[in-house]
Amino acid sequence: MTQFLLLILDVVALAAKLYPDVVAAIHAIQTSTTTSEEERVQALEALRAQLTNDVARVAAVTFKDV
Amino acid sequence: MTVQRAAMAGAVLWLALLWGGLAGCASAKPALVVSGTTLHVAADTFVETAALMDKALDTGAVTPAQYAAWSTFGRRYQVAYPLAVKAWEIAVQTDGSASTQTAAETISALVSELAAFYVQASLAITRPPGGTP
Repeated sequence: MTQFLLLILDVVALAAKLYPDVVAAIHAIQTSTTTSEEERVQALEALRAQLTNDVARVAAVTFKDV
Repeated sequence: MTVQRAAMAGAVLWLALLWGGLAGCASAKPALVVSGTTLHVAADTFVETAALMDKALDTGAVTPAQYAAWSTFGRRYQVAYPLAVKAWEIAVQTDGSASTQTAAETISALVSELAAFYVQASLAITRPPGGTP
């Protein structure tokens, strides 16, 4: 029973951690289906700039020697 | 065992969310907005997982072998991520094409593995070594 409760707490904690990503994904889906063509083009341009920055952030990650 | 089950559940949940978003879009631009956002979220998750794994190794919450598996995956991710972004950019330039699907498939494969490491690191940090199995 205790292990079951701990598992529930784990799932709740993970849901809380993932919450901003879930919100972002839902927002993207809403944006993609409800906005005008011009707004979509602007969203794609903003994403392109963001992803350029993301590529640099991913490349900057380092790993420890084990 | 609990950690492995939770990791698997997290990975499945994550993938279901991403594919649900992609599958809901029939035309090119909406799908590109969703896949671009997915790529952005995947970068955030990778950077956060890296920080969690470093912390978990420092505190003994993950073993060197577990960290080595993460490190191997992470280096592969660093090679694949820019290629996925490039495929996405080509898809944007061509207003949607086969590369849209390529970008989605590439990032989906990466994210499924990344989600498992993310959950593993999150659980390891929140639970002391030798705690609940």
